[in-house]
Amino acid sequence: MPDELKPVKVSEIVKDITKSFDSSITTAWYSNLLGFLSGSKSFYVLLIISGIVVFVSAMAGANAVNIGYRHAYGLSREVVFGILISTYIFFAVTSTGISIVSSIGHVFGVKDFMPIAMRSVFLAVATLFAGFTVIFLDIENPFRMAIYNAISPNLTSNIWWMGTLYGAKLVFLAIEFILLLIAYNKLAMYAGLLGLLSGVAAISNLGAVFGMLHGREFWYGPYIPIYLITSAIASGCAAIIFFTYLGYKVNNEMMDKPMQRAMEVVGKLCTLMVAIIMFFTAWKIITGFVAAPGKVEAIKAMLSGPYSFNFWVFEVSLGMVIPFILLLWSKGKNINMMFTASTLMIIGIFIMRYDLVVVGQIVPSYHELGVNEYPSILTYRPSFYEIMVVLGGMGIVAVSFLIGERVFKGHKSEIH
Amino acid sequence: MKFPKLDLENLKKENSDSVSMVERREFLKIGLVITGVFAGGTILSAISNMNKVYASLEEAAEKYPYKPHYSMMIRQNRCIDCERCMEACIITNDVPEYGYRTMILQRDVPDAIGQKREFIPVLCNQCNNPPCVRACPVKATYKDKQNGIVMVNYKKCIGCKVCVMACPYNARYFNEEKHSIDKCNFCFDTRLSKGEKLTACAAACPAGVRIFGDLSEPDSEVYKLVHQIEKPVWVIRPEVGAKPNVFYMKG
Amino acid sequence: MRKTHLQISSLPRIKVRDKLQQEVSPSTSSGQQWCHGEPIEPWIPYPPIKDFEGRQARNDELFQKIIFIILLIASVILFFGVNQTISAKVSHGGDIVYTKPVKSVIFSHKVHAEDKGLSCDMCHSGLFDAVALKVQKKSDFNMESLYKGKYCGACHNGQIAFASNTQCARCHTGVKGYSAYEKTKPEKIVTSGPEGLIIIGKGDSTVKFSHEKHTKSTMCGDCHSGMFPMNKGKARMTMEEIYQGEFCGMCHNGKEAFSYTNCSKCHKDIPVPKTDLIYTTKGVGHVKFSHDFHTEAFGCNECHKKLFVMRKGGSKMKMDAMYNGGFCGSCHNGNIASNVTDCGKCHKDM
Repeated sequence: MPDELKPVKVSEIVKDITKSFDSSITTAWYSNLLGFLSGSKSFYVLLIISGIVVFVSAMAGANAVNIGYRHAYGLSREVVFGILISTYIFFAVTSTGISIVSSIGHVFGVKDFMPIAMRSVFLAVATLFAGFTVIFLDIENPFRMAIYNAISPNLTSNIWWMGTLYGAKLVFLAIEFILLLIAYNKLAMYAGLLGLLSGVAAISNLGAVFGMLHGREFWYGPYIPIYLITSAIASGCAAIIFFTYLGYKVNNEMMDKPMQRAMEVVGKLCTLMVAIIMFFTAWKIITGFVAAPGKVEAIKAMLSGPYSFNFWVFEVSLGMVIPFILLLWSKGKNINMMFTASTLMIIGIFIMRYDLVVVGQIVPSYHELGVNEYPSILTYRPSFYEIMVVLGGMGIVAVSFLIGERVFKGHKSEIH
Repeated sequence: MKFPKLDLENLKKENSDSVSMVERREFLKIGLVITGVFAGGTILSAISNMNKVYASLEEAAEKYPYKPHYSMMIRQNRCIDCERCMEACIITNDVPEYGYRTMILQRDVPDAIGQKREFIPVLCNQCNNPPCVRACPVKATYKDKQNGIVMVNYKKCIGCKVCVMACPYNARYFNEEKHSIDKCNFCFDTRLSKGEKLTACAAACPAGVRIFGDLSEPDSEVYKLVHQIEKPVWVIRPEVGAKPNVFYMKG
Repeated sequence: MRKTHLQISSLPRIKVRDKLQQEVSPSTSSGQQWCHGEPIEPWIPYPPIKDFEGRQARNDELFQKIIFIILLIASVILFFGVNQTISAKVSHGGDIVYTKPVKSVIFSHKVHAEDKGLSCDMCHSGLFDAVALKVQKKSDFNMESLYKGKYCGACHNGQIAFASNTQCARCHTGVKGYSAYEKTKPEKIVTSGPEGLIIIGKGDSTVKFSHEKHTKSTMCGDCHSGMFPMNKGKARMTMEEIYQGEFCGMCHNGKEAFSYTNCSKCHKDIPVPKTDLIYTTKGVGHVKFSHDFHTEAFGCNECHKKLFVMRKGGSKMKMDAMYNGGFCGSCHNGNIASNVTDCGKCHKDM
């Protein structure tokens, strides 16, 4: 009788499953799925799907421009920052985080971090570019921005500093990537340093866009700029693990020893940062109970109100607690577990940025007057067009990542 | 550090009888030291540097940095929500129906004795320390150096709407026809620059709720109402620190 | 081939009606089989009708179907009929919504008339006409007039009620209040006036006036716009004035409502004597005057009170006066009725 027709023994199946548990937390079917994803056919399938997503989102964005953002997006007079701004923050902060983590290696010379350098720089540029495209479709007059940012700057405006510094960072990182490609490592180090400095300055200004608005009590204070830098490192670590793992799967290669070591240290850094941001979040909530009435309302909405599901399930569980446990458990060695943790973290952090932006606006300005027009917290729901634009941004990251993997042959660098 | 010896047992209680008239006058003048606004006994709105002391009210008035220093006093107890001010504003300034420049809010207090509802008009407060001006990346919004009105340059606005977020009074909105942010500018381009003395809303109010005028002019009604301490005068959300130029009273 | 459980075509065709017949009158053939060899109880939503002799009514099924449909239609009609809003009957004018000169002030009669217990004539005796929103057409209906004591300011001057230059928003509900009021679709108030009967007059000639009957077809202002003050007993009216079209005569002139000649419609207590009036005169036959006969053709006021006092023996009648057109002679002059010279017509037993 041929092999396929041999009756399957249950004990053998059990043995297979238990064997797979030794190597990863996942079962055999998951490994098979990843095996499929490693082939070159799957690469093109993914590339085409991402390309279609980008194309469709571009059409949706063009239509949104056509009908006007008041009709296309779910924004209102009181809630003007929605999922587009939060996606931009997500991408920009991830980009900064990636550049910070990788700069530990190729700027500050820590050898364990060096293998991730090239992919990280490429990803930092790609995610920041995706963030820019997303916000391009939120700003009402984006072309005026390019002109008047240059000729009529307002040095007290955090948005101006953020825009300028992120633009500078994009340029510096692009230069650094090119220099790394042609192996001018010393110059690349300087470019990287400049990119790092402008990135850190930019992200603190991004936080200060919210933190310096005294009228919005949920945002006001030095917390958001500081928190964002820490959260950037955490999400940067997560993104590096995520994309490195996927990169190796897409190229159907095994990680070599230095890369495994790099993953280990990045994972451990991630664990530390997640622990820190858990404390940040806890104290923000606790001090929120004794803060100004507007902030108390917002915190209540997050803990037990309409945003409690977002907060407890996505931000706390998926974004912090479960990845923390998984990363500790993996001890930096179990790459599959770390990949799962980083995926969950990315999803959780994306929703966390959304909560940050939206919850700050749901308490109306005149809430304390006790007027009938503003009896309760405001609502916001992302519209179809906004979701399409967000998917488009993610599609841009996917496309550039996939193409980058093939074009730059897995970002192997000779930095020692 | 050495502490002075205090004879706590025998300290005499000082009450206001022992303050001489000269001292009282000096004290009251300190209220005006911060150039600008003496609002019902409380310094609610500071305009420029606080170090100057003025010998008399007239000198203080001369030193107001804006000439004319446009302000509005809203006598809240007289508002009856006839909404003629809103209609006048919409007609004068082409305000689209999805937005507003000025609005009447209603506050119901069911447990109150007597009157159980009140109407509160709100508009751009033309702050002396405007958060929107600080936040705009391209200086599309600015505080006019002559008259203190916070203006919008419709050509420069990029529509990032961070000024909408920054404003503590929900006074700004995005106008699709102008494709830029819009807000109340005390009818400067439509009335004041053409010689009118009052804004459209102040002219339309039948109950004398909105008193508009030049705060630096001692003869103006705004000046007289702001610089009295018999009836309380307040501003909305003083804790934000924006130092608004629109005052509220019940009188 | 597998056996079928039920072979329908082989079963006898039974009509339900026949089945009913068979169940009720078992003298017919034994119960037929339908399924599984068991007779089935026919489901009847109602028991079968029997007539007085015990026989089953014919076409009882059809008959009962008809009854069922009639009941269904009746319940549908009742449902939709009963769903009408039942209007509240009040003795005051409900909510008056003023929109001029500013929108809006909602005047609540309930607060003033019911809660505060003010009487109608406190306002409706010169300050306000009893016609809703008539006053806002006046050009001086503004706050200055109120401060001078006109309109609402007559009471809202600080002494009787809060001053009209204080607590503005206590009366002014604004555009928002107007929109909210319109949205709530206030229930229709039927102003039926004060309950009970208003007693007018004394003694036999009292009239009991019912507001309820009148407000079915009139508005407050139809009567209470100057002619009748809203205060019981204030209006002093005489029948002469009524004949001239004042007071009740405004409508009760035969055109808008029944004429004032129908005395007994209002003056219910004045008895029209049923028995004939016998006038005895020395030397001639007595005269039998029949009210029945005369009131068939004439109203009370054709004779009373200009010719005859409404009291037997009250008018001292003389034949000379009659010949000259007085008393009976005003009609019995040969033109309207038989001449008074025809003695035997009235003086019987001559």
